[in-house]
Amino acid sequence: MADLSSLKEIADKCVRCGICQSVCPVFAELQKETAVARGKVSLIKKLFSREVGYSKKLSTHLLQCLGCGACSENCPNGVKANELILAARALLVENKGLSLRKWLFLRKILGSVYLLPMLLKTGSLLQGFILKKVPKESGLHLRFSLPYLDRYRFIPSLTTTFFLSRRLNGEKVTNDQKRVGLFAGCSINYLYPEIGESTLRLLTRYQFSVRLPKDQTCCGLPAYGSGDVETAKFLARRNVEGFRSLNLSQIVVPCASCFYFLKEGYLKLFPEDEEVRSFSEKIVEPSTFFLNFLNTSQQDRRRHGGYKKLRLTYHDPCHLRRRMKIYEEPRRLLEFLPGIEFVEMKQPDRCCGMGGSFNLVYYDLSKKILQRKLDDIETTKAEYVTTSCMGCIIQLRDGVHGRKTKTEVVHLVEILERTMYSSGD
Amino acid sequence: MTTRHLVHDQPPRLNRNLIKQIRVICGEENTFSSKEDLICYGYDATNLEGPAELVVFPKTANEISEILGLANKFKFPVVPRGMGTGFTGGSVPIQGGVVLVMTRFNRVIEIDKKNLIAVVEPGVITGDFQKQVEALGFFYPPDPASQLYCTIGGNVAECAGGPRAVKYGVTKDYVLGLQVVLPTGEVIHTGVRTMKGVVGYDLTKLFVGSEGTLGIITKIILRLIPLPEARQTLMVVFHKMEDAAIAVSNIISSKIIPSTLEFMDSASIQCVEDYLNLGLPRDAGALLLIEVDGDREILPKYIQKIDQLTLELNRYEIKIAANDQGAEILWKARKALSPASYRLNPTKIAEDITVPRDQIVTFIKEAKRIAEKNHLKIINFGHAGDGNIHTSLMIDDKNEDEKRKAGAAIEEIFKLTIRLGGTLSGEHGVGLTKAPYIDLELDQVTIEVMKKIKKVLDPNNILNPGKIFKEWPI
Repeated sequence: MADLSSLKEIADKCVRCGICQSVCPVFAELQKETAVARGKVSLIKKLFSREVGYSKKLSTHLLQCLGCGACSENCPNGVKANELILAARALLVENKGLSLRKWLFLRKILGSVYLLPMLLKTGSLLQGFILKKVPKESGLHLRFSLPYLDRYRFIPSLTTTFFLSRRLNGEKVTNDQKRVGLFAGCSINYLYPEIGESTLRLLTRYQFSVRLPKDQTCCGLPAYGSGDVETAKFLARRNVEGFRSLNLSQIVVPCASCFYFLKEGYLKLFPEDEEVRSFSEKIVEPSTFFLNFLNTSQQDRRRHGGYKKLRLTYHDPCHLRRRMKIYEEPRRLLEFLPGIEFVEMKQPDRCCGMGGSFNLVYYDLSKKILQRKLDDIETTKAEYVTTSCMGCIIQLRDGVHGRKTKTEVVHLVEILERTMYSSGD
Repeated sequence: MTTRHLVHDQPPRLNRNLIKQIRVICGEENTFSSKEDLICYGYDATNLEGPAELVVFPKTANEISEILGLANKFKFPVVPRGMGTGFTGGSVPIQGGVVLVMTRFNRVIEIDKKNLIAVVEPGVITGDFQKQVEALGFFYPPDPASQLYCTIGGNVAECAGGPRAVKYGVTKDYVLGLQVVLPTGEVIHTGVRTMKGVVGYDLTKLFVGSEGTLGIITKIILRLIPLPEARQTLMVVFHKMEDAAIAVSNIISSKIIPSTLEFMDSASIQCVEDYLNLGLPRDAGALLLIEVDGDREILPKYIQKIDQLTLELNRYEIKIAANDQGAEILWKARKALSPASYRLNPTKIAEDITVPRDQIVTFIKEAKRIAEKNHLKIINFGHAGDGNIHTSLMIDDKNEDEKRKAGAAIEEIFKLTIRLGGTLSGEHGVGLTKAPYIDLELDQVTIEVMKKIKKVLDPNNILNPGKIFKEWPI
């Protein structure tokens, strides 16, 4: 973690010009200074000078941030407010501890190797009792409201067979460059194994031998985002160890948020650690990874004359675009795909409002932010909206379901597979 | 900067009972009193702070009236605020009291296409309003740098300007009339919704630029003009600043009024080059960023004329943007100046003095000399077309000696400005930061007249006390 003096330095760079008010999605809804970076930075400065304490109000203001990074990106003085806010959340946990719910979830469930899969397994078997199947989409509605879960919210159903429990044949490959790992993350493992399957099939098509170590776990970002550095470190260490002795050239991470955290976040958690550094170097996300192969294998491109073009738009995950500066690669990939008419939505980099646990704690607010995104998507008249972050996918599917629009929300690897190899060639 | 001492500890002006009454007026959900909320409404873009005691978001003129009624009865300050983007501390509650946030007054009430006027509430974001009228082919030109996140109400209260002022004037040139809640609670209507109107005193002009000290604006009638069909940008770099200045006056005397005419001095150019490496010549004396607008057919003629005029002078290079993207590249240097300047030093003392156009060169040379004498870093940039120069001292706020020197240098720069026939503030207002200096520009009798006006409208010194004038209570 960054030390206090370097945090103070970040905070002191803010000259309070107020430009963050024009880009912050949370401010756009709440219209209050405490919602925007300038206000939060001011509060954090007062925290440092001990003029405010670790109060409940302060905690609320710090948590009412999506971490989308729009403020930092547009700050004329380069104030990294989102990092400052994360650091302050960690200080909050250090000084006040976690709330009971978060403690239970982060420390006891997420931080345990056995409890999370066990609970979710039980959940997957019981979900039919409290949830109602939504026809067509593979999702569920609550039969009644629960704390944190609105009755009308669209919930992805838990899969009964976890992705990580599948076995790979792991055929012998002599070329070391062709040995890659796959990091599933919670969403693929428990909710959307089909996205994992799709990634697997694509990798196999390109002659990769894929390793899917069972010892991998949550990337740790949800814990880190809540200020629970301890659990984040524990999970990070497990993942680094899980992939350690597999002799992999690269590790593909389909989810943009997991990707960011594995590649950048871990370096911050363990700044001087060589093993973590070499793990981070192997981490790659799908658009960059597959673009490399598509460019060199033009013959893969299916002849598509006569096929109806599908209109598709792309939503930039904040972690991919703002944190990792990856936004050209997915577009180049999509423009290359056969049978796709790529249309840009109005503000493709505007946060969808998910923000990890932000969506659970401030569901109504999160939904309001989402509405603007849905408007922008609808205006494109696209049949598909694609992205590569599992959080964004959960959020967008909830929104699309709520509006009963025909737009389908798909992961980038799914669209890649469908357009390149759909007719089972 | 030097005015921080104005913010000091003082006994609270509100009590629990008053807070309760105000809550009833504006509603529980629009009234905030937690420590965290008060901190976040105690500052503006100057970075100065004041001890807010209550933050309210009223929705109607009536609510404001009622609050002001209480304020007069119980003698507590009321400080109006838009988005808190002012540069002189105008919305900082230095004497405590209620911060009245006007952002819920956010409706564009009407856009009258036949008469080219619009009626808006003060909390509307300037940039949003501009987008809305431009979509209809109309134009509301005032463009302060903060246009995407400042309110029109704030613009009116400060009489904001912007780069386009050289051709299109400033906020006051577009305000036809106002609805104002007086400090004593009565609601008045000033001005007209016609192009002409001379019945009675021009109270509209009195309230425009009154910095929230004379009344609270609750409705604004604005004049619109037709949107120019096209615009084009060019950049001319000069070896010597003098040549850039001659270019400015030659362009204007050849009867071309560019829609913006921005300049950067050599220190600003170097500063941006160090930051972004845009390929600007480091030994350049100054650069001009020029934008012309009008009918599509006329623009090439303007560009050609400017090209010819600057060719006659000793210019370094000229770059003409072919399209919007090209224009954006040219604007990059100017837009990067703010972040770049903080690489010189962490604190900026940014002024907005304005001198007659023909005194720009003298001003910059003298200002540089003053800075050098005090071992201070200075950059000069701004609106060459109207003589409005953002002369900025970059200092280390933690260095007490430097702070003291900067204070002295600013005073000297202000005196220089007045000597050259200029004004201390072109567009930011007096607020807190320039209050100690107003008698450099205004004579005592004039100040007394202003104070009398204030006293007539606000006998109890309720509204935004501590601003504009040197001594309070007045």
